[in-house]
Amino acid sequence: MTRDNLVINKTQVENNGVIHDPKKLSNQMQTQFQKGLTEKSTKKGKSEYDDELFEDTPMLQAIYTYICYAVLNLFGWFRDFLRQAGIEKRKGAADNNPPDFVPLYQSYESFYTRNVYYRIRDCFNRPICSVPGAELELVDRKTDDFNWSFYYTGKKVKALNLGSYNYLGFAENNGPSSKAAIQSINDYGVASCSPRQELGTLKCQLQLEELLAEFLGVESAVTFGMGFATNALNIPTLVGKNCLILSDELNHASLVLGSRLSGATIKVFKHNDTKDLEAKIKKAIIEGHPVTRRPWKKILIVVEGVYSMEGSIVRLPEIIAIKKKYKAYLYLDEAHSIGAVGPNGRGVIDHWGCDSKDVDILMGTFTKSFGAAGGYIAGSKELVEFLKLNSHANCYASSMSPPVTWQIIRTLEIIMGLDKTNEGIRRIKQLADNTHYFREKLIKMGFIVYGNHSSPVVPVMLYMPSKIAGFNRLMLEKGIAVVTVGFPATGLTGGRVRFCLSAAHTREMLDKALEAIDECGNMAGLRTSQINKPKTLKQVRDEETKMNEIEIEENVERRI
Amino acid sequence: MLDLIPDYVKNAPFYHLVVEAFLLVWILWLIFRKSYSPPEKNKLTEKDKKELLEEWTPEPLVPNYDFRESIVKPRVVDGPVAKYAIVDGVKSLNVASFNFLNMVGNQKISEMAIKSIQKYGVGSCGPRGFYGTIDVHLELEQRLAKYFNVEEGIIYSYGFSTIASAIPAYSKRGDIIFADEGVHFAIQKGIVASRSDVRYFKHNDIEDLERLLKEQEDADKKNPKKAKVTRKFLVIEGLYMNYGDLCPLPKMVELKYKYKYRIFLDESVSFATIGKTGRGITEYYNVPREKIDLISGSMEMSLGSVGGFCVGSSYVVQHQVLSGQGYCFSASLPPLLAVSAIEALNIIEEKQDEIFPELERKCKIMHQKLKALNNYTVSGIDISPIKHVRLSFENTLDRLEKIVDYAQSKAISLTVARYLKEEKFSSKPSIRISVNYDLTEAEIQQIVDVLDQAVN
Amino acid sequence: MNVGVAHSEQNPNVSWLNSKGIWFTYVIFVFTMHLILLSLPFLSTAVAWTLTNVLHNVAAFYLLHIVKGAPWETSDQGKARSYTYWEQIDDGVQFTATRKFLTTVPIVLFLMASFYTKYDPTHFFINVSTLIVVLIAKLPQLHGVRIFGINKY
Repeated sequence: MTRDNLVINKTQVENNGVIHDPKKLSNQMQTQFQKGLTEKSTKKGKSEYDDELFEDTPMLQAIYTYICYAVLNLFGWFRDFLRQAGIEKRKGAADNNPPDFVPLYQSYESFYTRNVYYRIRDCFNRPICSVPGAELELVDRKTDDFNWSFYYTGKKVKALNLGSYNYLGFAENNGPSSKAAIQSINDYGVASCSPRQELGTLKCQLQLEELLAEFLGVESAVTFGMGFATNALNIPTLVGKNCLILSDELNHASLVLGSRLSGATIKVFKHNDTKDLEAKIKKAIIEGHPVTRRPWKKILIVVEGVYSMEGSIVRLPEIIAIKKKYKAYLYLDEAHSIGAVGPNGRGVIDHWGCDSKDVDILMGTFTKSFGAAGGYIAGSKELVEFLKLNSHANCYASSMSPPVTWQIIRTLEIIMGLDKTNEGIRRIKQLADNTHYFREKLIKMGFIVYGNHSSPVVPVMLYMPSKIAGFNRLMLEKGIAVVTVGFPATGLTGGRVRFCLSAAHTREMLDKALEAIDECGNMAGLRTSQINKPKTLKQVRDEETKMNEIEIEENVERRI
Repeated sequence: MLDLIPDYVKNAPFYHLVVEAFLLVWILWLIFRKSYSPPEKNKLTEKDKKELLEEWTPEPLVPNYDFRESIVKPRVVDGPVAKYAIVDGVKSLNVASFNFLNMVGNQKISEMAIKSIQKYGVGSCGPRGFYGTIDVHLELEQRLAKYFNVEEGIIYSYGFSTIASAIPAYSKRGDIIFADEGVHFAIQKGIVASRSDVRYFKHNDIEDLERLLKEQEDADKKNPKKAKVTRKFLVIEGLYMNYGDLCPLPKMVELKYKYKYRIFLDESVSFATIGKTGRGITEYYNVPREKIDLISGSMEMSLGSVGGFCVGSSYVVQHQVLSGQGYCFSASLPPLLAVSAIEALNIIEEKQDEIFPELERKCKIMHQKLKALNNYTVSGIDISPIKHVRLSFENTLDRLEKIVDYAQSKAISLTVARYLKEEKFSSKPSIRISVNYDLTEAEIQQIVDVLDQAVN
Repeated sequence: MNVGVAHSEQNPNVSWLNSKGIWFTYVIFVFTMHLILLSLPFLSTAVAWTLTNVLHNVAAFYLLHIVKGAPWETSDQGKARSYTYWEQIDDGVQFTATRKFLTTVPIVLFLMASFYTKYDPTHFFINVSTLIVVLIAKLPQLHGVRIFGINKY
């Protein structure tokens, strides 16, 4: 196995713990974009740039997946037939109302829920009873009737946590942020019970907004109590009926809901495909509104920083170039990337070295990297004032809770380095380190890993629905809690396990996880990559030690 | 070569060969047919297209807005927003926030919240489906279901999203929603998101509702097949936040069985304020809770926490676990807020014989005193903890804001009821007073006096 | 499984027939069904072929043109409920690759069946009638049309 087959090329520049030099790459992309050069593509993957890889689905895995779904469907029909014929008892609750009411749910629409989802329901909604840090304690749950109902045995199961969004490890119960939160409960109480426009504006919220604006490098910011609601309630304020929204294929449900509620026309462009985006913008401006043929009032491009199911990072320099050329506006949702990506933890803008003034609307949430709850929108002063006047959340929904606000303030200070320690930089480097290490090992072992090399979200493809459940349960037996998803949340051949790395994970924890993945990967037959040959963890480690030895020998020789 | 073709092919009947030839031609035509796209109307040249691209200018992202100082630079509170709050540096009596049971700043709740942070940290770091379900969430859901004596409950992490996610989970295109005109904004947003056919009836007007229902029944008779798959819902609030009056629930339940619709009752304000033991409007009217399909409420008012909940029968509520957008795609409620809500429920259940009669008494006193004022009108029922006070003459927003400023200068915090322009049915401007059960009669008198003085 | 939806596709029914390798798998399924029928001792080759053709057309007609909606909760608020699966494919755009494929398969099956039944008139009649029903249902002019109001709601 020569070096050329390795996806991660060691000759790339290391900078602050990040593999490649994004500024160089960003400039490269800008010039490429302007010259209209085509991207590279490797033989068996859709790799477009040096830092991302989305390998094609192997044909055999796809066929097995379809056969799996066909079998599930057949059994589903069979069981439904038995239930209708009365041979099998119908489980689940029944309607309170008399039978001549129109049934509340369509029987066909819950076909999938009854026959597929309920079989693997124990893999989702698992309750925990500890802080969701690097390790967590699950409440032991068992079922007697095949997941139709659960009972709790009273025991607790300790597991390594690869499922929670805890990128910088701030989900802790005894750090400086939690101490600040505890202090704030004594000072401010638990909640404010009033909207921002009435009597709900607390001093700490204004403090947070100032600090946040400084952190992001913009004029001002406004915060809201819930991240989902931030998108769903503010996009309708900014765009309306005769506007166009260009939204990425894989945008989160909150962005989709906000776009639909706004009443604007929505066009979807292929995931992270800036050529498609440019073609669609050009077409839209030339043709105008499809029915009235009038020119559009505004064009808004809605993208995310890091896509949580793919692990890809948005091509920000190209999108900014497009936006400037065609006079569109850019809405960047940094829910997963703020704090987790970039040499200073300031998100994708930091990662690519772009100017934060180029992005019109910066949005993010505090749930992932800050270990709190809530969302924010930042941008120019006029934008923030406009939102304060017209946002649905500011007018009707209660403001952010004080302990949550103080948790975020203290965390921001740590990340920005304002507390005079190195804790912030240490965590960011640790996360980048963990990401690099974990991804490299998985790719060398022969698993199909999607996404950008710097993204702390690591999806590994499983494809078959049975593996979604099987891998999840096997890993839990080995003491590791993972998140697996399948159809219809992803595509039909999109079943995957998604690891969320954290700065709180130590090397030993990652090694334990890798060993478990190694074993479970063997049992479930997951090494399906056609670019990297399948290897066990031991083989990978042996190869690495051999290569290190060769390097040391070469260095010694050179000196001699 | 021709010998290779079997005999039966050579002797095939003529019609058969014609059909086969036709099919082969059809396949070829299909393969070469391009996929449908609307006829290209633009015969524009490249130069024209370039010009269009350069000429197009968008509207500014932020349109001209109505700058209102009182909203952009609101009053800032430094400390708990409790009965007495430090507003802009002055300790004022607070009747502006929804602090009906004075839970904000309560000592026991703060202790439990601190213990919760020491155990769980602050955030829950994930949605409910992926390790964001904490045992305190499950406990809170059970407690709320037990409080209302129904089968199951479900909690959301934001009060606004609760009803705005619950309605679209059940009602889809083609279904019909009958809603009261006075429902608050979150319900209106939920109705818009559901894409259903909505019919608004005049506020608390049963005849108008019956008229709409009869019209629908006649339409159903003409098209019984469609009626069999059309669900009907009635969306009402227990105590209307924009009006302060109760809905005529018994009559609506009676009509439910006549016209076959389901009732979604939003008890954000009436939860833990109305009723002998605070069980809401169903207790006040003595309506069995099984007849209401879904009761939703907010923990941001009486419970002094953050979030919302839906309770009802298992059949109805379980559906939201997979279909409620605000439940599935959003991070779950921070555990400290769930613990505060549980503790607040503990306090309520312990002291329910004192709190609710006392709250009712204070509401009635406040109502009487406000009614006695000369220049103001009070709307709403006397036991409602929300009072809308309007000027009798020249009731404009500016004048009301000046009254609020005057009251603030006398250390009483009032608020104008804030609405957005997008409200479907706008109410007249008003000052909204929220009665706190801990208010003393002297304090009520103080408020009323300040209001009286402000007019002069 | 609405947990953590990864895309803004409102109705997964629109595109799952475009996934990689699914056409190949579809052909394999038809082939497997045919092999099973062929292995039954009391069926002659001709009857097996006609049966394959007829069963395939009947199943395809039921699944594509009679069943409406989707077997899961879609986030398009019930828009797909009034459309059959054929009308949902690719959001109603006509003459896409999937539609061409699904139209070609019954035709090819018919051609092979007529060859193996030695052009017998009875078999021809049965095969051609099922083929015509399936083909007419796929015409773009019949998009959204419900004859005599059958299957409308």
